[in-house]
Amino acid sequence: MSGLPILSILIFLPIVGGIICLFLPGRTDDPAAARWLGLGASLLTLLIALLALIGFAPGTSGPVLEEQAPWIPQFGISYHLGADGLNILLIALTAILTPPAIIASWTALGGRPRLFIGLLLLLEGSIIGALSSLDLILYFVFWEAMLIPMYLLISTFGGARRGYAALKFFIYTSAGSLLMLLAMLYLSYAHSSREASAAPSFDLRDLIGTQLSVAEGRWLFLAFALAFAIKLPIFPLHSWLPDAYKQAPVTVLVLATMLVKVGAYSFLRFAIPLFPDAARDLMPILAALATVGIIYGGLVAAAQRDMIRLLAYSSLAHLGFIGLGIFALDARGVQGSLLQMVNHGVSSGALFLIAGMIAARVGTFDIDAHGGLARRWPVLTGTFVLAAFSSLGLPGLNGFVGEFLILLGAFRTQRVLACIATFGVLIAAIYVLRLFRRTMFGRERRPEANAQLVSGDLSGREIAALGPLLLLIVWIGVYPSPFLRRTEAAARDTVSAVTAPAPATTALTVGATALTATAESATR
Amino acid sequence: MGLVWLCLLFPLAGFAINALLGRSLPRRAHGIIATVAMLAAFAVAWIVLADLLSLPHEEQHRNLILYNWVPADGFNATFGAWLDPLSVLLLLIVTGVGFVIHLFAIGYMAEEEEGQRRFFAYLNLFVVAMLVLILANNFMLLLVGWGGVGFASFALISHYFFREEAADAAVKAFVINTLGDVGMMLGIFLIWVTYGAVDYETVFRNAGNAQTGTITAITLLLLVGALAKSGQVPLHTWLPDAMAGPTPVSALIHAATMVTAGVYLLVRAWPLYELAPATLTTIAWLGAFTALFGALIGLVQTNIKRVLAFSTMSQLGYMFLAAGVGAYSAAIFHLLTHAFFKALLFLAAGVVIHAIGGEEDLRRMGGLRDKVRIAWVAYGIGGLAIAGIPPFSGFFSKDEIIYSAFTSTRGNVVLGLIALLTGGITAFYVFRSFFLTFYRTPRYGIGHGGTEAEHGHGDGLHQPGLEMRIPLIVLSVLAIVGGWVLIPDAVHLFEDYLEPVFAYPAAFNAPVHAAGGATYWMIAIGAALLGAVGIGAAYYLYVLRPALAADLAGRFAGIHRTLFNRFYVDQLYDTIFVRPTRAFGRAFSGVFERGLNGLVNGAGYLVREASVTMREVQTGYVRNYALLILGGTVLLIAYVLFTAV
Repeated sequence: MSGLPILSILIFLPIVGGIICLFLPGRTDDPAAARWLGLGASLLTLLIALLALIGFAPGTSGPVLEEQAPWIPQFGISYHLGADGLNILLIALTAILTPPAIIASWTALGGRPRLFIGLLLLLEGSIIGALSSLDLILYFVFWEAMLIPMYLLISTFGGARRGYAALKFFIYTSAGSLLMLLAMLYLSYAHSSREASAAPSFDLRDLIGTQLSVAEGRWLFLAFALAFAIKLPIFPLHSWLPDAYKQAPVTVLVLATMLVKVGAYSFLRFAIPLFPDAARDLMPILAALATVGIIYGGLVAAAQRDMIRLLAYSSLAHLGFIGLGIFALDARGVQGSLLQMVNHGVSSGALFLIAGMIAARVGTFDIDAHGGLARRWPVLTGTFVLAAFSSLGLPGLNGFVGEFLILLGAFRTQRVLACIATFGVLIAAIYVLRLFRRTMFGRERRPEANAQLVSGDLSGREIAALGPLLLLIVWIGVYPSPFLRRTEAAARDTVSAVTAPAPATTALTVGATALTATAESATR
Repeated sequence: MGLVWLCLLFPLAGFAINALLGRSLPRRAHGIIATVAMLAAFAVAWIVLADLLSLPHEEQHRNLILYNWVPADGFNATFGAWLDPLSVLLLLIVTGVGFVIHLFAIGYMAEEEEGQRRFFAYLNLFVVAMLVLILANNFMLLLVGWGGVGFASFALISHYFFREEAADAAVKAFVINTLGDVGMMLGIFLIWVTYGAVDYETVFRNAGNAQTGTITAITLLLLVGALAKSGQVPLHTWLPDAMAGPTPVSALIHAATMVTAGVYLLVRAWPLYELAPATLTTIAWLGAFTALFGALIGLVQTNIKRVLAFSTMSQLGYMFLAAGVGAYSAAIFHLLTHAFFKALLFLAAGVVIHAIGGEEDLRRMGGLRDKVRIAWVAYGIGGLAIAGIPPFSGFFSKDEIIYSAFTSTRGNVVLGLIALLTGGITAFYVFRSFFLTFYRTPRYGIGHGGTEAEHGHGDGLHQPGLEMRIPLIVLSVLAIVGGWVLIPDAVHLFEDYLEPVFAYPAAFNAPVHAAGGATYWMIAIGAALLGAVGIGAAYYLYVLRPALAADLAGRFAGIHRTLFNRFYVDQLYDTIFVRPTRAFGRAFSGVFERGLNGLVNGAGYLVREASVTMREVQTGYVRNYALLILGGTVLLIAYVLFTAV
């Protein structure tokens, strides 16, 4: 297996599969061929991704499975892929989440199955591409390419306000990317003009260590950070997210959670190693914003009546945790964030699917519409319990391990923020249980309407979609060490490259503390 | 020693069988599977005890590591068991008392139409979580048990989830316990930053290598978790509401699992607490206050389970008081006897409730002495034990605490007097519920209608079957003799057994504690007399002169209302925490989010208005957008590529 271009296969198997799917012969509304093609392609991708993950030896530091070929040599742009501890879990996760998305969409293909499934596969391939690129331009191409299938999925198959939400999603997230592209060009130019023997290059490995003035470093870092912060999203750049999630077809969301994680990952892959000094100086501000996002997202989630909006804001809170773990610049925190990215995909993915399954039965996403549903569908309730408590970080399940490590790391470097963020665990319990209690518990508020609900408990297909996610929820909670061991070296290297001189104590820390105080008073 | 994992495995297997395969099993099987699993775990626990006792005293602490659980860079938490006399004692209590409660539940739940499988699965899971909690060899794993019992209690309190109050109570219990978890987590982070590890062995051995201020902060943060779990003021409000679950669940929460966790944590982490005198003082006062507070509220409650709930709060207050004055073994001793008599009281109450068709209101009971005689005897024995009447078990354990509160270097007269006085009040309110339930004329509505006649009893009451009688008998015996393992000046079995716990780490001096002598016996006799007075007063007011009780309640209506409403703490929390949080959420969601959105849309709108061409495109089809985007991206990249250098 070592000779094969594994990463290229992982990228282009779904992309080619998706293109074939788009142009399948036969009637456009005949779902069978598209379904099975999609499922087959995604399962094959999954198999290869799992083999790659297993083959990735714990403790590996540098990139493996590298592929490098010149692409536009006159500008130093190459087709450079690689896997290391930062992205290997996420690549595997993308492959893990796609089959459930396809299985869950099985009967909800909006009348255009080839387009729906084709776009899902294109989304998967472009996400894996963005995750494994080690060349800036290549990365940027995949980064932008991810938007297209997502945009089309929302605008074609979405809810009533799909056009608005899709356009907002697209414009908002690509607005940030433009500055990043300029910053990439500037950086490459700086590299080739300042280093004595440097050829033009967009290769990440060449660009790390480029001589930059303090001001240059900060501006470039900010340009990158803005793009990633919008994608993540970091408070207050999140307003595209609830609309996009609400309007997107619900079964797509399980994979869409990967999009935002590319933003988080990109901080670790690009922004921090490329501009270590600026990162060290500016991280406290980002950490403070992430912390605000945890509390703010949680409180807003607790006020939602719509299941999807509630989960969208809960994602804001979860991504705040992920951001905090990265921005705290502690190896434990980074490992926690990497694990939490997996957890968020698994837990929120499962919750989105479950919300969709409930809505498919009761015809609404309103959490107050019915009540007492637990009596009706015990298996659905059981899966909901597991996913809900995973999402709120119950010790023993996956979310706890990630959050614990994030907060532990942040507690060492950003103690005040960590203390505030820990209360996010409490707020999570409040909004998740509110969601669960209102829908599943209590008396049936509309018995006459409930009586008309004919659908039964979870079908075999629905269990097949949820099963792998639920399994991971328990597995990562009980035995996370196979995952942690694979991220340890990369997390340590990433952090030590930045923090080597001294822990962050600049004038900006003062600014961050002021922000923290504001955040604190705002949340009271 | 490795057999200890079987204690975890059996109830876990019981849970898994019921949860995953249970649907194909007959209804009756669920309870039997769960109960057999508990019996097996209990049997293995004795083997573990024998193994432990075969070791010399100074080696009675073992760190059994099963696997590396959370290995991160510079951090490690294993999945392992810390075995010493303390954890093994708790292991026996949890599996033993847990077993009889499971057995009881078979009979209690037999007539439930639905939810038996869920009930017994979660009952097993509750025990698993509690065992993880007491066996954990490090603080992070402790948190797994800690959160696990929180989850299991949520699942069981909400057993009748279609009742609004049960659903609310379950959420409340979980949220308040999560607040405790937040404190615990912060405490554990501080432990790691301070000691560089989270495992007991390293932390306790190096306990002294930190500044007192840091240790005080650690112990206070851990205390937050302990207060929440043990229903101590100010985090007690979930405990009485938790009565919404079936009675065996209440028994399990109050006797064998859950609430005792807080006391266990304080004693487990004694090397840290010993070094933080300020925290100990806080614990002692909070414990004494809770003991009195719970007892006062218990005076006027009208629901039999609520009376017992407040008595639990109060008795745990005693245990906290004991730990706070440094009498750790006295705290554990009371935990032991309390497990017996509180389980007994709850199960006896369960028999009563079961007998009269689910009624829990004391005002609708009465006259049940001859109708359910076994409950009368059992509740009486439990009552005498909790009232501290010799030679019942509570007498010995409670007097240890009162004596320590008076005489320990960390105690004082005020703490002692509170403990003494609370004993009298306890005797009064527990026997108030006893007399209201079993004496005078029946006030329940059942037995006169025809619907219950099919059960074949002349009086229409459900009589407990054998599976409910055996637990009552076993627990009655234990509630009597359970305290005889430690009789000052005579039997030192219990102290000797626990001694290795306080001899490790060796760098410390074990907290010296030996009750006895004239002072002890004076206090003990005084406390017993006070208990007798309390019982007598209850007899006078609720059997001889019931009119007087009503009259008193009327005359002191303000006080009565305040007590009945539990000093309005729930209302207070609702006003200062719940409502503002909710308001913030709504304000953020309504005002702030809309504002942000407006800002973003406004920017987009401006751009759009600026371009007429753009407006034309806006009306197009999806395909147009897609082409536009794709084309735009390609053009952009091409432009960049050919102009860059």
